[in-house]
Amino acid sequence: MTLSTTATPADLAPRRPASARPRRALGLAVCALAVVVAVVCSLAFGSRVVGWSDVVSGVLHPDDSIAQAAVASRVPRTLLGLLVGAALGLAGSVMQGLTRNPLADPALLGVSSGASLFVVLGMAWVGLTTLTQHIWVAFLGAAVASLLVYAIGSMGREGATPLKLALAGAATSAALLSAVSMVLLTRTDVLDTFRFWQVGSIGRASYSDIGQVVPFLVVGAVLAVGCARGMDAIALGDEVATGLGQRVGLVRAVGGVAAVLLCGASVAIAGPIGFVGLVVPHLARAFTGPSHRWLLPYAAALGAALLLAADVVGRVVARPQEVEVGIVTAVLGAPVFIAIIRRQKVREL
Amino acid sequence: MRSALLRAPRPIRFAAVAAAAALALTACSSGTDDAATPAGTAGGTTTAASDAFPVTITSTFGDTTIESKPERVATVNWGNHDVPIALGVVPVGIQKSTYGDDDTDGVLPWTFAALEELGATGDALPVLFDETDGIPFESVNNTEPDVILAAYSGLTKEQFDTLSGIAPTVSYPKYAWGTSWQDMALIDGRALGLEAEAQALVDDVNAQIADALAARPDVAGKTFAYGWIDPSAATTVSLYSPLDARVQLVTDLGLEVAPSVTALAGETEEFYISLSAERVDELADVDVLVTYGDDSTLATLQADPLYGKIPAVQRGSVVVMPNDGPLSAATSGPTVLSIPWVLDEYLDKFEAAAKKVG
Repeated sequence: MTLSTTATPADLAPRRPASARPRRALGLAVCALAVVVAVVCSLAFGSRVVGWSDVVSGVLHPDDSIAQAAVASRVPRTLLGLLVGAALGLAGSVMQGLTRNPLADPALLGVSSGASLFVVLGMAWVGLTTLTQHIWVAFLGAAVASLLVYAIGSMGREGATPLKLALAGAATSAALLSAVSMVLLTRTDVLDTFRFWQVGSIGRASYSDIGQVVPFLVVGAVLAVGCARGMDAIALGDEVATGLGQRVGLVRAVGGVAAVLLCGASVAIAGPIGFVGLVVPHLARAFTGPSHRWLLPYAAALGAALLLAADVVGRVVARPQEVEVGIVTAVLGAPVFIAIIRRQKVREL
Repeated sequence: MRSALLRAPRPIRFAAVAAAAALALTACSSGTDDAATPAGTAGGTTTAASDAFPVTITSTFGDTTIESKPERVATVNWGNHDVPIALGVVPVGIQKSTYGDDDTDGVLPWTFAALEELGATGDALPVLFDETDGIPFESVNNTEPDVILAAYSGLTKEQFDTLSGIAPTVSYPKYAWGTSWQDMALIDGRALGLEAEAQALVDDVNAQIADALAARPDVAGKTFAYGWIDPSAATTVSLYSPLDARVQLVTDLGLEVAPSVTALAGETEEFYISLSAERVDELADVDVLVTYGDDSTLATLQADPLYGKIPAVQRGSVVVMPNDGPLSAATSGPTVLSIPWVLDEYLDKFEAAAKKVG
């Protein structure tokens, strides 16, 4: 290593204005407020227009009216939106941090499609039917796809550049999704079960479904936070990180497991929802700078708020129908995706 | 995918596979013994006067002229083959059935029975076009057809043009998947120079329906909604619009589309409309609710805090069609052959539901 023996992480970290800490704390409060507003909107607005008294009663002790039943049905939906949004925000941050790739996103890097394919195969060939079974095959598929994309993207002398990873992800994603189609075309019975996965949706979630994924999301979140310091170091380059005493391989492995848990569980319950994992870390970094210890809580909060907001939009724009949240995030996320590419010229983080 | 269209119109999926949808709809028909269907019409083939040609048929894509009586008849998309087969004409190629075909031979039972009567099974079986992945134009071309029938279909302009390059092609009059079984029979029949015979066929099926209805007085006059409701997976329900062929069949059975459904459908040219689960109380005027599912479906709907608010669900006046299998295939894409095959069983379900209406 070329580092001087006196270098410390603090010396190497980018200098920040002295006011950074209060500003970031304030920003976190703003994020929390955004989550609260999103939760209130998610409970209050939907295809059915209800009064505020119905909203309150519907959440606390719904009576027999359809208005309050409608509000009551929005409660688990909101809860799931919070969980999945936070998980995707975290997963996107971890994937971007580990790969130093500003375009990393569970959907863009093929992780979601890997999970989807394995679930379809599990339904078609093994006859899996329960959510618990789906979660495990989704994990397996997410892991296989991640390793595949990373292996392909790392080929060649210069290693895993952002562009190569994004290309490998897009190509792998396309291949996996056509495999999904291949299975579904011959098995219309599976298509029925699989239908709602094709676009991400957080509607109609039951508490028992949510309860089943929560443990995985919690473990994934804890592992992600545990990697924060390691990812800060990796952001400086693998050699520097190693010089700082970080075990780069271990951080990548634990972070990879965190991303797979967060993505796999999200996909298993809500289907592939794109762009949240991509957009949220960029949004969060504008407040926090590159420090992952700040970035991760921001990303979780913003992810939750963004997903809920997108879901609310999907509910109100198409009355009396609804638009699945996966469609809304794609519509909202695509321009951001283009903006990131244009602004950053796909440079490494 | 196409097959699933028949019963599961989710907007998103459909947009993506709309073109493909056409494929799935392969009906087959094989008359059962109870129906007089093939008997009255078997001799019809030879009676067609050659002065019926040239015949011009106007469809949504323009005029199709058939110069002389077709000898080699190919049919694509759901159910069109039932018309020539019912008229005693064995097609050279028909759509392979993938939805509702419980014995996986690619031919639905009523079609198979009718082909059997014509001696057209085994080696004589028509070529089966596998439309799972789009119409296989090369296979269609290889059958060297004189005419291609698709009066009930979802052909795109592009598909129509390609098929028309092979042989004169008969498409749907106005709406994709919106041709009634009667119109399918009459239009496809006219292309064969057998319009009078086709009309006789329709009259015969109508008479069978009238007889069956007379035996079930509770059915007539009830309002209905025909939907695709999956409480576990979706926040919206799909309702088949009044132009859908399966809805038209139910109106032929003496029921009326509920005013709420008509209002929701408005001027739509789609075969289904969607409604958020939060607004299912708009279906309060529905006497009989028809949906796809299994033995647990009604209980699941009744236990659901939103769907349980629909009066038809509360009182159990719900017809649950099996998720797959010939029964659903016969009624979601009805034909002159499939209706006689399914009529009694279908009406029994409606009668049971209608008896629960106050």
